[in-house]
Amino acid sequence: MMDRTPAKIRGVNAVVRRWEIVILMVGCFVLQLLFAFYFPLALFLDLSLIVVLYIGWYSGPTRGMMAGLAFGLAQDLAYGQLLGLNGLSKTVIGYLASFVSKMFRFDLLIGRFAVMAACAVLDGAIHYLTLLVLEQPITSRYWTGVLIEAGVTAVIGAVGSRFYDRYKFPRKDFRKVGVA
Amino acid sequence: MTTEIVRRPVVPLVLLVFLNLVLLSLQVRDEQGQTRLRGWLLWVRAPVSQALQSTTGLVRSAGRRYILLYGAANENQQLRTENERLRIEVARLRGLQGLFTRLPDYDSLRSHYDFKTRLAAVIWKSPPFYSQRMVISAGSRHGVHSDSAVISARGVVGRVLTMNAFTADVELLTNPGAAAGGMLANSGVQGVLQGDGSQKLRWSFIPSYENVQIGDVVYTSGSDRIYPKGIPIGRVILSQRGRKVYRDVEVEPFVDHLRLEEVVVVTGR
Repeated sequence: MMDRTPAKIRGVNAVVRRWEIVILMVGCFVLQLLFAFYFPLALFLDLSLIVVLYIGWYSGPTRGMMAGLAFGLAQDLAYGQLLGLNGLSKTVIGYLASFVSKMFRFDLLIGRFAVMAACAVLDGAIHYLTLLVLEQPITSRYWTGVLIEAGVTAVIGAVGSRFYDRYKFPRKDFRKVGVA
Repeated sequence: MTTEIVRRPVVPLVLLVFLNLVLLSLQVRDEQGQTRLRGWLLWVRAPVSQALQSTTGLVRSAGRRYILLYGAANENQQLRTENERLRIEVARLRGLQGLFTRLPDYDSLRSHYDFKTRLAAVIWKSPPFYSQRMVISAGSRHGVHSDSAVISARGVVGRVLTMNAFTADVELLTNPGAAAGGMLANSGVQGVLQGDGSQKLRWSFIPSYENVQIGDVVYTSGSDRIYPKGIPIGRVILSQRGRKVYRDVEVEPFVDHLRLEEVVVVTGR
């Protein structure tokens, strides 16, 4: 029987399995808690965004936005801010990530960097609009922080996702294996 | 060639976004302590409910106007009856109001002229182009007799021609053939005021050498033995030398006969 599931969705189980997602989420949550308590400068690195984007690239929009919701809410819990702020932005970004992967070449590092930086800025923009709607105070250097976070997240996200790809898809040396 | 099919689950996305917004709104409160969600729901609900109300109002109105007409005829008849009754009531109240307004005038008239008088309502008026007469609601049983003077707070109205027990026929001073003795208060010049069917009186038998100015007020002289002396009649509107020995003088009566509603009948002296 022919498998009608899109190749992209079939691939997600091979790239990021469900139990991996849970481990990643717990890992992100713990790391963000540690950062928040002991190393606030590390909060410029948005780990949740990187993972959500990665899951979104290799999966469909449904899984992407569900992962975005879960990671976002966990991040809100870790940061102790308004519950739903990152949940909202990461849900949208996880949804969009599955479509973005069709437009860019992710085998190039610069492509990953650009997409991650753009998504980080989008994440900041969604936060900004939400805070505006809720009439919450916004710091005067908000956008500076967003740009720094975008840069840091994009660099680490691009490199990290590349390594993770290598781990998931190890290159085969056909000269050693040989051709039967 | 393989085509990738990627579904776009927009509805779940909207639901998740909405879930996050609800979460956020539950944590943020406005100045009144209300959650933001309540305010947002009001923004959503208000136009919808307004539109619904307008729509139901239109439907209801259309139903009442064009469909449910079975009760309209009866309702129309009831409203007409009610309207007629109210109009009569308004007219009656207006009359009473006017009467109460004028009563002090009649009281002052009565005290100024020491006559026996009787207040009567005008119950009929002749067409002014036909004759200058009217019927009042006082007759012989009220002390009215032939040639009784009929006056009002403004001045002379006319005299009683005929009467029965309860009503009297009054000839207005402006009627052709009606006459009254008139005089000027300041100079004492006297003449005869005669009606000619118009709303003006001709003042006859005023010598040409007499000084009669336009605007002078003419009063009754009492020489006719009908009208008591000193009741205002009207104001001179024309005074010029005539072809003969008398002046041509015209007087405009103070009383507007067309608007009379009540009069005072002099029943005795």
